[in-house]
Amino acid sequence: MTAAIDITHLTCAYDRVPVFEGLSWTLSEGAFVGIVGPSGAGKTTLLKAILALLTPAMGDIRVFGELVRRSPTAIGYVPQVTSLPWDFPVTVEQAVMMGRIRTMQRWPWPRRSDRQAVREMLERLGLGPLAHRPLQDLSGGEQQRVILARALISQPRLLVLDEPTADVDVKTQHEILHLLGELNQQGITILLTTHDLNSVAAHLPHVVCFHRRIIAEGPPQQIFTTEILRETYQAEVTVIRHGEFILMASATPLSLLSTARRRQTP
Amino acid sequence: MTPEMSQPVWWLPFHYQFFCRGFEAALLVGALCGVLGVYVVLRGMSYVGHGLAHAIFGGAVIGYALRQQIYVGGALWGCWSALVIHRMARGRPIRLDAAIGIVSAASFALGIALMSRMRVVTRNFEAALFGNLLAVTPFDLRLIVGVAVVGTLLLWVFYKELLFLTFDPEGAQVCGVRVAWIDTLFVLLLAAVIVAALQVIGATLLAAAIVIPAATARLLTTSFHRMVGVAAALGALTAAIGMWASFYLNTASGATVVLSSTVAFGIACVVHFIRRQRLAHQHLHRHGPTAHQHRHIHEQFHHPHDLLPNSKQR
Ligand SMILES: Nc1ncnc2c1ncn2[C@@H]1O[C@H](COP(=O)(O)OP(=O)(O)OP(=O)(O)O)[C@@H](O)[C@H]1O
Ligand SMILES: [Mg+2]
Repeated sequence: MTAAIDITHLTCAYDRVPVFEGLSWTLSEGAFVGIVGPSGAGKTTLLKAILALLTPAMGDIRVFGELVRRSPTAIGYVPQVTSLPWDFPVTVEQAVMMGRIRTMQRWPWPRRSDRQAVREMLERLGLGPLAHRPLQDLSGGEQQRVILARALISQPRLLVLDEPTADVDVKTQHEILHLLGELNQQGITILLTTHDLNSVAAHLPHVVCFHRRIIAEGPPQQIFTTEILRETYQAEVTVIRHGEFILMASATPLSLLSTARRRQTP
Repeated sequence: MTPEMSQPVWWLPFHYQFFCRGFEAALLVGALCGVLGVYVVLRGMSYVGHGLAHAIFGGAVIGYALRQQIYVGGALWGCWSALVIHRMARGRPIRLDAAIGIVSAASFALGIALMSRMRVVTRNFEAALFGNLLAVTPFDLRLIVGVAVVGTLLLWVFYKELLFLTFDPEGAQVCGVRVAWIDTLFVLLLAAVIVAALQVIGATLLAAAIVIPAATARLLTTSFHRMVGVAAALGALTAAIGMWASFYLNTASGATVVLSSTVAFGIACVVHFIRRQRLAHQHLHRHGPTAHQHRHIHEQFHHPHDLLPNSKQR
């Protein structure tokens, strides 16, 4: 079986300052994997390299066996919700339609089959009643589902999501991760980044602890230990286990404060 | 009594061929600027338009000083400065707005310096600075028609791509849109429109002529397609009114064009305000388990709620 993503000796840099060097990693097809790590760890950079949004300084990335040069057709990308201008004057239907741009005809308007496909996708994600709403009227969870629909409409084999659980409430986080779990059951390989250790531990079968290199990877029950998390975050994280259930908490309010400060600095 | 006498007073300027030419030029330039303005406004690129217009003015004067070629100079200098700005902004320490400021101000200053050396021609360049109804030659009009045809064609062909990359450039690239290529094409088209519009609107006021109709259209609609149409119509209409007013007021045409679009913007602000008041309507809806009714504005509504089946919108 070919790997969904195969990375060999990858080095990514901004202005010759490397974010990570000599990274090698494989994501097998059908996996459902979350990358966790502190701010500035290089999670977004890694995703962008996979999506060919930035050119690596060195190394190779293969997606389903093919060397990545231009953005691979097999990938659907869900950027971080806050990176998009949500006051943009289009409706939900039009925003999702953008995801079909590879298969649409040259004319400015969509065909009936395009509209049909978008309609079905909206229904599938529970966005049906919102089809003609302007984007600016959506809640955070709805926005997340809209860009998920935009990514899914091109029928990708691999879905790459940057912080899909940020900026939404706990219930919506569960809904999103549950939905991703279902998509994974249907055969889509899923790679996401997140800051939320607890919902990762509850929903994902496989996690990667990342801080400019891969510190550990495996099922959350195994790798979410105080030592590994300390190495990843360079802060004390208390891990509470209760049978299958794991809960991670910041050890002291003081360290919580300093992480919060670090997250705020851009 | 001649037939002209029976016609209304406002028709008077249309008896002059030079006015008709200027008027047609203004209609086309206004519509073109309006449409490009939609992309410029939505991407927050208004400073790029401003910078390009000033750089192109510098190029036009240089072109005139060397070979008496305003357009060739303006076009070449425009393309060159667009590319330089692009390169400079890629280096980290200098941001895009600073790069534009440097390149455009330097070109503009060079143009002004050259212009003041060649005293005789200063008057000719007043048109390029502030726009002049009288300055539109038959060649200018042909150039404007040419740019309008090519521009419309390009915007038509790349409509979906431009829409996507205006909303989300990275998402567009992942979906296979050649973002860098189409971006360059768009900036070159913008430069071409500015070169063609130089005599009608003038370098100093072009950015306003590009931005104001689009910003007005944005206030009036939440649909991209309609925004393009409204901006084109408003651009053409305000440019025509501005041209016409400049005939009577004996003013620089760029100034009256921009002033008339500013009036349109003011009216749109009032319309927008009234609409928002009317939108704040009440209907029966649900947050969680409780069904209730209160006034709220839908445009600002950010928490999820379900409409009850028997509730009435508006
Ligand atoms: N466009 C850029 N130019 C220069 N440096 C950058 C750029 N984007 C990111 N960096 C740097 O690269 C490093 C990794 O950033 P990246 O965005 O990949 O982190 P991240 O793990 O996604 O963080 P977060 O959790 O906050 O999203 C950081 O030190 C950041 O300062
Ligand atoms: Mg990130």
